[in-house]
Amino acid sequence: MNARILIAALAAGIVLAGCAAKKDEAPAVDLAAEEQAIRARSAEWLAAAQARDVAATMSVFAPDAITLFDGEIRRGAAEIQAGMEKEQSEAPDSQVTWTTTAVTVAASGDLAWETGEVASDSDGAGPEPAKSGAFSTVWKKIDGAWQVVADAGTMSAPATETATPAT
Amino acid sequence: MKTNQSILTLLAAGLLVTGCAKKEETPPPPAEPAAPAVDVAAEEQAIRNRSAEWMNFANAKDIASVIQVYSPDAMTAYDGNVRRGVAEIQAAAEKGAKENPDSVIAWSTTGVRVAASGDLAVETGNITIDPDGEGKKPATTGVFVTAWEKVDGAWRVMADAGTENEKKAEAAN
Repeated sequence: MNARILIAALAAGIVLAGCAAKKDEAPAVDLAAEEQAIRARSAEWLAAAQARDVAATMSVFAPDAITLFDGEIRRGAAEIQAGMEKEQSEAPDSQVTWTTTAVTVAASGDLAWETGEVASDSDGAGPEPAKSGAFSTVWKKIDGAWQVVADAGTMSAPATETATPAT
Repeated sequence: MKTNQSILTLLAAGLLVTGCAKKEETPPPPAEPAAPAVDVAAEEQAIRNRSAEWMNFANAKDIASVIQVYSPDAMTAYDGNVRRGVAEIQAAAEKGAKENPDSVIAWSTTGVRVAASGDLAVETGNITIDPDGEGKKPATTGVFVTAWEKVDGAWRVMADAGTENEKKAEAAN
């Protein structure tokens, strides 16, 4: 009888320990996958910008996003879209490219930061020189998708040969 | 006895399987939410406090304390000036303090978002810079975005970027 009680108690212990272990083993967030998702989203964003696809570009931004670049401050998706359309109208031959140098994802997988190098040429093959700079982009996961909540940076120098956007 | 133990062992294994499975299938009871692992409101306040300290250090021209706010590999990007790493940031801060000893800087935080895990955050705000304090040069205003990371229990700046209103960057030639 004592043996049965002992075994029953052991069984109950196994159940509790087994369930607890199962709960602990489940990874909360696959940070490497989230980092890759952001790098992929940033690449899609670049492709959309180079294709002058405003709708696709705007899908990257959160509704309350802010952008800050060299004197241009845009608050909210409407201002960002209007600024983008104005730039495309004024500089139809402009080129842009960027490369991601680092992505840091919060352990909870709901906020991330991307930094990288950017180069732009306001008139493509025209006489205006290309410029290069750096950016800092903050991403937030909204309804399961990474979206930009803040994008800031500056053009600081003439573009190097490797950073010059393709024409 | 061996037979009884075998039956009980099988019963235990069955309990292990069905116990865990049933727990997953049962919808969670409408109880109060569990206490959050991270007090996000407290972390937001910590960032606001750290940002205020940072501003005081800047106005006191206390470069050593200013630099303590940054991560070693932090970057800053403001209107044509990109600094990568704390050494470049420190050199620029020292140069700025030397060239503009009477400068006054003020900023106000307009928003802070903290990750649920409490290890990453972003701060946005408005900034005013007067290059000569009571002097004749006009103050300029702008907006900033600062990315913070918690390193060894302390919030540090990973990236600080922004721009002055309507100012166009001057390329560094």
